[in-house]
Amino acid sequence: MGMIKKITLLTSAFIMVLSFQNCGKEDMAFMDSVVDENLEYFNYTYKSAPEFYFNVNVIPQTPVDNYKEFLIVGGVAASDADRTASISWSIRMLDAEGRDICPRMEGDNSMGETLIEGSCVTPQTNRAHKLESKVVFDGVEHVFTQSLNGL
Amino acid sequence: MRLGGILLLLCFVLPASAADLEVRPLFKDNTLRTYIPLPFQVKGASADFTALTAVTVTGSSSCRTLLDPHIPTNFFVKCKEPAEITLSLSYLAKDQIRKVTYGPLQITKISESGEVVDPGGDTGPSAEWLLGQNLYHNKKYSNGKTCARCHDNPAEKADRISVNALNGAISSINDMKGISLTEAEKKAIVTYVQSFK
Repeated sequence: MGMIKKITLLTSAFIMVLSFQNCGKEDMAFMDSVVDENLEYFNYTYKSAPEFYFNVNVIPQTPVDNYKEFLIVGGVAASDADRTASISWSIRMLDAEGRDICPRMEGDNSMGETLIEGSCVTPQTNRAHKLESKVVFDGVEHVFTQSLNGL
Repeated sequence: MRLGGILLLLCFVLPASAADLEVRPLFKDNTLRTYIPLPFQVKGASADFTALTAVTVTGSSSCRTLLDPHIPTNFFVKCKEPAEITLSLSYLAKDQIRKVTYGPLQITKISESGEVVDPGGDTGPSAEWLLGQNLYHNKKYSNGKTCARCHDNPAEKADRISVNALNGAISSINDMKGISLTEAEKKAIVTYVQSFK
């Protein structure tokens, strides 16, 4: 075998070995914590493959005339682009005793709409402690709750 | 020579071959907003596609990505600031890592006014509430006392407390006059105490 062939072969083999090096971090506990933190960042709480994704955010507005307003903005979508499903949702803002502080917000996203928008106007003295969302996906009800700590 | 040439081809030529991956947003354009986790699905245009391995964002440092832990073809993007971003996806196809870009995507602010409240959610109370709890129960002030030393039941003041009421108490009650708190700390205490209402 000529020198050029040997060099070509050895260089190729060396690059192949480099390509298949395990560059994974050994500190698995650290990696787990990073993964968990990222799941929290995305509010990813599904314990198994979800049929749909749901997320809502609360945006307090400047109070006017002893009333305050919370905008509710989020999204809901099937987890498979090929799936068409009936999707409806309702959202309640509750005080510490579980009473509604404003009318229930509702919507129907069956026609492929993915945006969720709502508004809760309530007297300034009311405190929002919990956001309770119900999503009915293809006839099955799912409940999501968020703590609001007395907004 | 022939073997070396084949190996070199495997190393350099094939991974750079054309992408054969379809990226499908699972949302409508009006949902492209900050703070909303935006789901995407990928689909291999050929049978070569095996799995999505990584997604990165260019165009904004306020965005993060997440591969769905349960659905290997799905991933999310979430941005906290409005931005125009491009996604770079790496995926496994025929035992090779390939790359494809997707975008640009215009992320707009979730609302014209107000800021998103970081929900306590199922993951626990907000940072402000926790700060208020700590300031109320654990911090000793210039009088050598914690708030809880004199007000052991925060629920008793839940109806009346506000930043103004707290300022009034600090300026008028002898035992509280030396207490020094930032505006954020006062607000945190108010948030904590009001949560007992």
